[in-house]
Amino acid sequence: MSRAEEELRSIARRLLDRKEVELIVGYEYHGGSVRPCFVSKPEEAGKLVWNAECWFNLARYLRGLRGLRIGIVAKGCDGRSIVELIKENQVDKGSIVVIAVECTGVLKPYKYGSNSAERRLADYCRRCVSRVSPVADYIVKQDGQAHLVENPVNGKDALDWLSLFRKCLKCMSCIKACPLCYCTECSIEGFKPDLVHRLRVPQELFTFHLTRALHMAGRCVECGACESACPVEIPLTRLYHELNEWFRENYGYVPGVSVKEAPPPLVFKEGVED
Amino acid sequence: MLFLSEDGFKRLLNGLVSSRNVIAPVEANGYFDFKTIKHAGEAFLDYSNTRLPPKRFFLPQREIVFKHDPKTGVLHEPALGSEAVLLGVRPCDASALSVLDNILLKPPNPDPLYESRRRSITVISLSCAKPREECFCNVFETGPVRGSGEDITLTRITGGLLVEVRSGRGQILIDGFASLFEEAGAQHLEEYEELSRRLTKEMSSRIEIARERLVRLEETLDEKFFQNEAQKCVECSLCSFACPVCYCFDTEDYLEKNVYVRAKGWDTCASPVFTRMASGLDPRPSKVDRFCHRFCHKLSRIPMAFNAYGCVGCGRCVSLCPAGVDIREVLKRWG
Amino acid sequence: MGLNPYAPKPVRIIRIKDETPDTKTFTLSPNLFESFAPGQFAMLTVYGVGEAPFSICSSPFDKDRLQFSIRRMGSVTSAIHEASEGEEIGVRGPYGRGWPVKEMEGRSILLVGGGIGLAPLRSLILHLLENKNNYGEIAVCYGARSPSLLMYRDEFEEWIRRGVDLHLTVDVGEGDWKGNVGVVTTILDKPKLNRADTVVCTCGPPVMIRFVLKKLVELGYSKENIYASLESKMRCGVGKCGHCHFGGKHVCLDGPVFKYSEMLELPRGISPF
Repeated sequence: MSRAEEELRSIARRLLDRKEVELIVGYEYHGGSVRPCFVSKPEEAGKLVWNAECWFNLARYLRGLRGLRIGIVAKGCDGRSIVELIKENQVDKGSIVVIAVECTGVLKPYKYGSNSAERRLADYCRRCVSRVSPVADYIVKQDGQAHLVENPVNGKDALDWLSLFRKCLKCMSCIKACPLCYCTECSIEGFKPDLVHRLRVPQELFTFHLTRALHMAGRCVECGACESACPVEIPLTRLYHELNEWFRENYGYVPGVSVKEAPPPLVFKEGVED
Repeated sequence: MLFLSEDGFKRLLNGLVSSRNVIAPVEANGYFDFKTIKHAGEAFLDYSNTRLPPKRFFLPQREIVFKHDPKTGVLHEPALGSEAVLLGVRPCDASALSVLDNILLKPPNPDPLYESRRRSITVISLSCAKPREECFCNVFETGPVRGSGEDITLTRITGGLLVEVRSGRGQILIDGFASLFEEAGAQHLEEYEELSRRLTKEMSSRIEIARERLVRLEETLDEKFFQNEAQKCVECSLCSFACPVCYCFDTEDYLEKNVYVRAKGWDTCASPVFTRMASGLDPRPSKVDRFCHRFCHKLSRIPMAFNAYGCVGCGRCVSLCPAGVDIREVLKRWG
Repeated sequence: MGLNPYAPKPVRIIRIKDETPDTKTFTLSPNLFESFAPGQFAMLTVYGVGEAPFSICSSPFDKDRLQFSIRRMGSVTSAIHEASEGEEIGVRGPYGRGWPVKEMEGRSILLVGGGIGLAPLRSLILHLLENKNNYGEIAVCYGARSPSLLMYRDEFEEWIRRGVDLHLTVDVGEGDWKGNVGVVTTILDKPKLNRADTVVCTCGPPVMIRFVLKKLVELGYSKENIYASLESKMRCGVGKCGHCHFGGKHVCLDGPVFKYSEMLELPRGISPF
């Protein structure tokens, strides 16, 4: 157990003991890996872990826990998605306690049927803009022993997106794992409205992914949950990064950095030079 | 049992590839998947298991059920399955086919689309050499050496492979290459038995469940346990899509080039609208209801209705679920 | 390829009758079923829109036509409501287990319907009246939310004339309604029948079925003789798509008519208890 984990557990224990929160959303060790867990009793705080396997964005669960006082373990990117959720009126900051953990990157999750046992830093971690959540009630610093430190690398090689999208199963894991995809009826799932077929039609996969990309543009905090959830290795975060770059270059805007910063589509006024 | 030398196996592979459509595991983009191969060398048979199960060759993710031309009144039926050899399926995935047979071929209305594919594809399974972390095939007796839905079982031993013919379809294929096979000798069989024993022991040491007790799942449903576990579930559909047994389907009607079409394809009981009627009434309105159903369905209801377990212990859902939902926890609690 | 159970056969709408503001009875012809039992259902396809299950409400003795009473609810039913006479509809069936007509021979029968739940019961009424001598007394208790929502109003007189002991009720009276006002459970005691031996068939909204079953037992009707027709989302109607699979039973194969004892075994949510 690392020092950071110890601190995390004691914070969680204290929050539950003092009934400052009713539930802590964190990670637990499971079957050789790590998965989300929900802790409601102080004595259970001991099962919380924090390491490089913690790729899942726990902010995803906030939408189902409205009305409860929640403590949430948040990496830098998870915290940035909480910022966006606050801006979009999906989360009330007053009802959550953010336990920010300083992150040095997560490993690409090992998955069934992988052809290699090699574990590497997730691609999207190389483009990380903030290792600590911008909203934080507690900050748990990294131990002296860093998990992984790699130089930021921005892949500029062109990807064959059409071939990549063709592999898509339309399993919806990317959408369901994303904290910002909170629409109760997803427009591209195919139930209502009939923008795309409900069942997977290969020709429509491009529409599916392009539409999602446009819905994520300027909102996606590049936490990589979608990419890590995807069973067919589509580098989704890379696509959303490209679109986010447009906002950065043209408006100097990066999503998730500040609650006070309004997204450009909201404040854009035609004819007004910024 | 027959024996096939390594050299014989190479020749068999080459012979198959040159005379038939062979689908085998290949490496692509960081994971294993089944693809049609043009040369024997493309097959990667030392693999753990494919990311996605081979069920799509029998139950495609989307297929046309019928086309109706309103002008002519002609009904276009879907095409029959085409001949192929599916090589290198693991015993668990092959056993899944026998479960699907129980479900989809059950009278009085066997599924003709599935049936035509099942008839035209010869399934050759390959015993596992190294069970994986997530596997639990021993719980449902679907491996690790032989499954129940294949036409031929291959098991690697010293110098070659042991060959067990499992069906008439398998026999036809063997007969086509009869000169490559010889009767298995005593030492071959001994090695096979030893391998079988060792692998089975290894699996049992990990998880030991009395299957018959799973029927208690319905009677003693622990709401609290499921409520706790269901909290994690994000209601995607990866478990259903990655499962070699999951068969539930949805239909979709549309108009294309003045012809009415109906397609059917993979659905998931995790979907919030799976049982929701147009009136809004829903027998499984909450996430917990649906979550409970998935396990009750696979472990207790499919056995009740179709005489086969709805899980083969491949472990895909365990590994691929983004939220870490683990069916083994349900098994351990009720088995 | 073997018989494709998923492909419907096209037939035409020959008559559309308005029953209530949101319900119409569609008469389709020809009747391509060799035969069917009252209580069975068919999958109706609106080409290009979708398919849904509907109870057959016509008499099994009518060899030329099939009738379905359909309430406008979702995409398929709305599309059917937009259809006009002469249009093509796809039909597949008959599916499911119907009412237990064999068990009813020589005994009295009570039919309890709520709202559009009278549709599968109408098929049964017409079947029973065709061979009235084989059965004992036939009583019907039927309720709807208001007088204008009573189905088959123009047929009641004929049924009474042919020997049905009909009792009606509405939740809310309206206009010149002089009959009973109250939910259908309030008129269940009206029919004078040998309750211990009467076969009871009921169909209606799930909440109605729940209270009716309770009241029937209270009144002395035997659990051995009580049947209900349940509703479920269906995509295939032949037990393959999984949408109507509850507790080891498929509503499309083992139902939609279920015995009291079978309903006790069904999981919460689909079970009326």
